[in-house]
Parts: sequence; C-alpha cells; structure tokens
Amino acid sequence: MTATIQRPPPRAVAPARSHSISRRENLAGYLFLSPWLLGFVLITGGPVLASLYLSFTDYSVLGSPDWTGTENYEEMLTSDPRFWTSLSVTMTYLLASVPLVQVAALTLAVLMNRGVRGLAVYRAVFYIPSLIGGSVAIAILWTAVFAGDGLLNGLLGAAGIRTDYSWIGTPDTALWTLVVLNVWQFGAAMIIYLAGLRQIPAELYEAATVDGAGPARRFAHITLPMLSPVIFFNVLMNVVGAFQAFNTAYIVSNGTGGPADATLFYTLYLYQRGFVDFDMGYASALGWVLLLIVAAAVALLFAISRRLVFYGDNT
Amino acid sequence: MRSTIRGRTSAIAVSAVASLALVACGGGGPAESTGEVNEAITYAFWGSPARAEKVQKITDLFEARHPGATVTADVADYNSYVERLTVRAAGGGLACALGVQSTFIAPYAEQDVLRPLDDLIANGEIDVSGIPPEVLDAGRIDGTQYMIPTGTFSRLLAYNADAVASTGAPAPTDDMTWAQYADWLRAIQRGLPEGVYASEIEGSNMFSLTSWVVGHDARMFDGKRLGFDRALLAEWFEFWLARTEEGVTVPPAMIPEQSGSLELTPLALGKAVVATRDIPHIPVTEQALSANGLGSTVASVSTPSEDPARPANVLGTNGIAIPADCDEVATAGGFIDFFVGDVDAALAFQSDNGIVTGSAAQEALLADPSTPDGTKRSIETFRELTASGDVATTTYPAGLSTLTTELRRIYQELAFRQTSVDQAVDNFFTAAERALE
Repeated sequence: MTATIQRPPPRAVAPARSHSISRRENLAGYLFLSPWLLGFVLITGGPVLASLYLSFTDYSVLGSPDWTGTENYEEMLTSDPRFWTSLSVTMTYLLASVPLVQVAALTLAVLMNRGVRGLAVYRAVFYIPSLIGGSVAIAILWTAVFAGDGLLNGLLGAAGIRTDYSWIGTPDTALWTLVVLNVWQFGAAMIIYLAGLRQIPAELYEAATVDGAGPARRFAHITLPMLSPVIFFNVLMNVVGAFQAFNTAYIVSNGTGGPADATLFYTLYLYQRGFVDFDMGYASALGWVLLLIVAAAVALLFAISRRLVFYGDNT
Repeated sequence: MRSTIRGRTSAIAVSAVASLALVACGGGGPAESTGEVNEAITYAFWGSPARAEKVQKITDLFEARHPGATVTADVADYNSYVERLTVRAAGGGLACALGVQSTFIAPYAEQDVLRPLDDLIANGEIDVSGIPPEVLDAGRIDGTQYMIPTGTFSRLLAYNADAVASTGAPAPTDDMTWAQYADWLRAIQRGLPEGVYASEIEGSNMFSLTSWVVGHDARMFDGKRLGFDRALLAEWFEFWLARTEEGVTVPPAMIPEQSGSLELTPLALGKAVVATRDIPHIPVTEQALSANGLGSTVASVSTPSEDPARPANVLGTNGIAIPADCDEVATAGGFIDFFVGDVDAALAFQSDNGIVTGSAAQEALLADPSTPDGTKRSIETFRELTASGDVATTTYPAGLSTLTTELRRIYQELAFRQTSVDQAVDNFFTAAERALE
C-alpha cells in the first residue's frame, strides 16, 4: 500500500496577495519619497537637463540659445587658458588641503581619545571653525590676517622678522592662505574620526600591547585599518567639497579669482562665465565637465578603497 | 464710389481686427502710456538699507501726490542686483521702474528688453529739461533714450590735500598732461614717509584707462570693438609699470585692495596720496581718512589729458528705465519724472546714488541746511565741470563688465612679471574681441 500524500494545490491567491502587499508598500514608499522626488524632478532635474542642452549652445540669457554643437567643449579644451588655470588652481588646492585636513583632524582626534579632561570643551573649540570657516565674515577676516599690514606680519614683526609682504595679494602665496583656511576647518572631520576611534574594540589594543606592540605599531596596524572606512568617508567628502570650493575665493578676491588668477577656483571661473560674462552656454559646459571630473575622482577613490579600506568582513 | 467706401470700411475693419489681435497676443510692441498715473508698479534698485529708507520716503511722497498709484520698492546689493536683472529679464519679471547704470544698460537696450522713452519725453510725461545734455546722452543707445539719468559719478583725480602739503610740493592742477602728472608724483614721493606711496596703481582700472584713451583723442569703443590701437594700450601699461618701478605707486600686491570697500582702499587708509575716484566717493574717502587721523581734506582736480582743452573726466550715470513688457507705462514714467525733477523727492533722497542730475533738485539740495557738506561739495564740483564742459561722455557696450575684470587680471599678470607688455596687449584685445562680440 502506498500512501500518497497529496499536497494541497498552491493557493493561487497567495502570490497575488503578496504581490498586492508589495505594491502597496512600494506605493507607500513612493508617496513618502514624493516630496523629494517632485523637488528633484521639477526643481533640480529640469534645470540639470536644460543645462546639458545649453552646454551645446551659445546662450547669453537675454536672447534665445543658438545651437553650436560641441563648440563650447572644444573651446574649453583647446583655446581657453583660464579653464586650465582654474583646473590647476583647484587641483593644487585639493591635493594640498585634503591630506592636511585629514592629518590635522586625525592627530587631534587620537590625542583627544586618550581621555583628556575637559574633552567636551576642546571638542567644541576645535569644531567651531568648521561651523564659521566658510562664512563671509571669516573670509574678510582672513584678508585682514594675511594682508601686508595684517596680523600675521604683526606676529612675525614681534618675532623680529619685519615684513610688509602681502600673503593674500601676491600670486605665489594667495592660494596657500585659502589652503590654511580650509585646514583650519578640520573640526568636522575630527569629530567623525573621534566617533570612529570610539568604535575600535579596546581588546585589540590590549592584545597588541601584551604582544609587545608599541604606540606607533598599534596605530599603524590597529587604528588605521579599523578606521579606514571613516578615513575613506572623510577623504571622499573633502575631495567633493574641494571641487566645489567657492565662497572664500569669491570673498577674498572680490569675485575675480585674483591676484592674477591665483585663486581662480573652477567654480569661481564657472560663476564668472555665467554671471559676469552671461555666457550661460559655456558656463553650462563647464558645469558638465566638472561633474565628469568629480565623478571620475569619486570612482577612482572607490577603486582605491577596495584595496585599502577594511570593513571588518573582508575575506 | 460705393465700392471705394466699402473697400475703405473693409480695410479699416481688417486693421482694427489685426490691431486687436496684435494687442491680445502681446505682439504689438511696448505698451503706450495711458497718461493716468494711478497704477501699481515696482521700483527695483540696488543699494544699502539706508538708501532703501530714502527711496521709501520718495515712494510715500509720490503716492501722496498721485492718489491710486502705488510703488513697491525692491532692493538688493549691487552685485546681486545685476545678476538678478539678467535672470529676470530672461523670465519676463522685471520691475516697471528699473534701476540701471550706463555701464551695463547696453545689452538690455540692444536685446529690446527696455522700452524707448523718447515718446514720454516728447509728450512731457518725463521732463528732462533740467538735465544737462551730456548727462542725458549717457542714457542713450544708438540715438534712442532708454534711461533717464538720476545720478552721475564723473571720475576725477582725488588727493589727500594734507599729505600733499606736507611734502612741500605744489597741489596738482586741472590742466596736467600725463607726463606732468608723472613728474608731480615723483615730486611728492620724495617728501612722503616710508610705506606711504604717491599713487594707487591705475593701470588695472577700466575707467582710468578710458580717461587715458579719451585724453589721447581716441575713442574707447567703436561699436562692438575697441576704438583705440594697441600702441596706446601698450603706452598705458608702460606708464604705470614705470611708476611702480620708480616706487611712486603702491606695490602690485595692493591692487586687490584698490577695488574693495572704499573705506579700505590705500587712499582712505593713508597708504597712497592720490587716486582716481568718482565725485560722490570723495567725501566718503575724506571721512575715512579723517576717522583714521590721516588727513582732513580730500581735494580733486581733473584727470590728466594730453591736451588740457580735451576733457578726460569720464562720466557715468545711474538712472531709471522702463522694461518693454511693462504695461503701467504712465505710472512708471510719472515716477521717473517725480524722482528726477521733484524738489521734495530730491531732498528726501539726498543725492544718495550719484549726484542728482536735475538742476532744480541740485539747487534745492544746495539751499537746504540739512544737506551734508560732502553732498553739497559733490554737487558744486559737478556743476563746475558741466558748466565748463570738462566731462567726457562714453557709451559703454555690452561686455564691459567682462572687460573690466579682464583688464584687472591682465594688468596683475603684467605687474607680477608673469607676462610681457606685448603679450598683455594681445591678451586684452583678444578678451575684448570675445567680450564685445
């Protein structure tokens, strides 16, 4: 005798019901997202697509856009020295300030992670510049600090080095004053590093200490690998921020990128072409090239991160 | 006969329908004035909160004078205003009474964004009889009046009179050539203490270059091209490089400070003794110098010219225009007329944005004891200049702001020896070709 177990036929309603629940959940999700989606499509998406079209036109804002094909891009790459200057200034700023910010932020975070008394006060003091550093007031203050008769030369004078050298008015040093201003705002990165350091298990350090590892070895073999996702995050954000830097250069140079284009950040040049020259077609092309450059830089960072960032579950 | 009448009737009917259709479609050109000053308009302008308060007084007076008319003020700082103007022009959202300047009006006029005002002048809705002709000309593009000037800012040579006197050198004069001016700069430099320079660097200043060009009997612009040759520009660059080499100008690193806030310029801070300034800026500079204890008087003379009989004091004007798409033309015209010619309006505004242009308004301000001394001096200086014909009017083409920035950049490269004079001249002409096209 063979017992036959007949399985009940699969209920046809189950998938439909599950599908229906899934659809309802999706719908709810999209409803919750709709304010942002509508904003993106109507306020951001439209202009983004319009700027892509405008980048292939000659458009002075007052008239209608005239289709010129790839002329703007060709001019940029072949006959516009200021495009290359602005790119060079931005890359110099990025390559100098991003590593310096990380070093300053990580150093301070490690020091503060050692149970310093009054940690909350120090944390606030170091964080304040990153709140106000990008403001117009600080940019004006910076001009006064680095002018020929500014605070820096006053301090140098007190140390016996008399000079009226204008750090901010001379092309050789103007950009570096902005790098210093950016590094001064390391507080935000420092807070993130501090939070990351708190997540590293103390047992790792204890075990390493028992095995005879000194502070430098513990930092190199425990702190850095365990903190690498946080370092990656901070570097990524700072790189994108450096490409977008605008305010300080605009204020310090009165919107000119001077002296002699020494502080002509890419975004400042884009602004000049768009809102001083009213050459919106060219400015749009500059915007799209910047997007591609930032995308390439981010892709490169992600590629590097596969080798250097340790997420704990790496095999 | 009957057929002729029928034909005429048909023609009139067709014309009437066509006219109605054009009006309905908005394709009939700028609106005509109804002559009724009783509509609601907006007056957009640039300036500080203090200026906004003065404008509010004017709009209150205007509304009291014209029952039914209302004027809403829309103010922004200069840079934001200029940026916003273009964007709004593209979107058709310009205010009916529109603050404009002779330096940036051309592209708006050329693109038919602005309404010609000649008909409103001809029918008396805007009375310009009190405005000197050369000042009125500054609001004209290709023979059409697009702006009614409300304030002027002719550029002169301003100097710290106390500092000059302390050097033992004579005061500058109205009839100097550029070579004599260079001699005078060297003379005063000899008597100045270390760290104080005879002059700011004018090589990077577009208005000073314009004075140089006009004083050499050339035109700054010829339509959409530069109106002078390369040799004249090379001489200009060499003139200022030589002065810096001689040590009579501030160092090139101070060029950015020259274009910042008036109170922080080398002249106002006592680091330089002479510089070009617009007439209304002279009292402001004097106040700053005085506050710093570095001098009590900033006097002025005409800008040097190669022929003393040829004026090189370049005139600029601020004014009000009406956009082509404004429907409330009568009220906008009435407001402009009130702003320019009404004595009470002039007293309320206190010549806040350039020297007021109407003669009646100038006289009212001079007679009023509450008018600040600096404003009175500015008006008197300007009246002397116009009476003696010592002002030069220049039409500024579209692209001037680009060219102004380019000149500053190119001169800085030159001053820091990053380029040669010939290369700088080439760069400027190339930039002009692009900016003015």
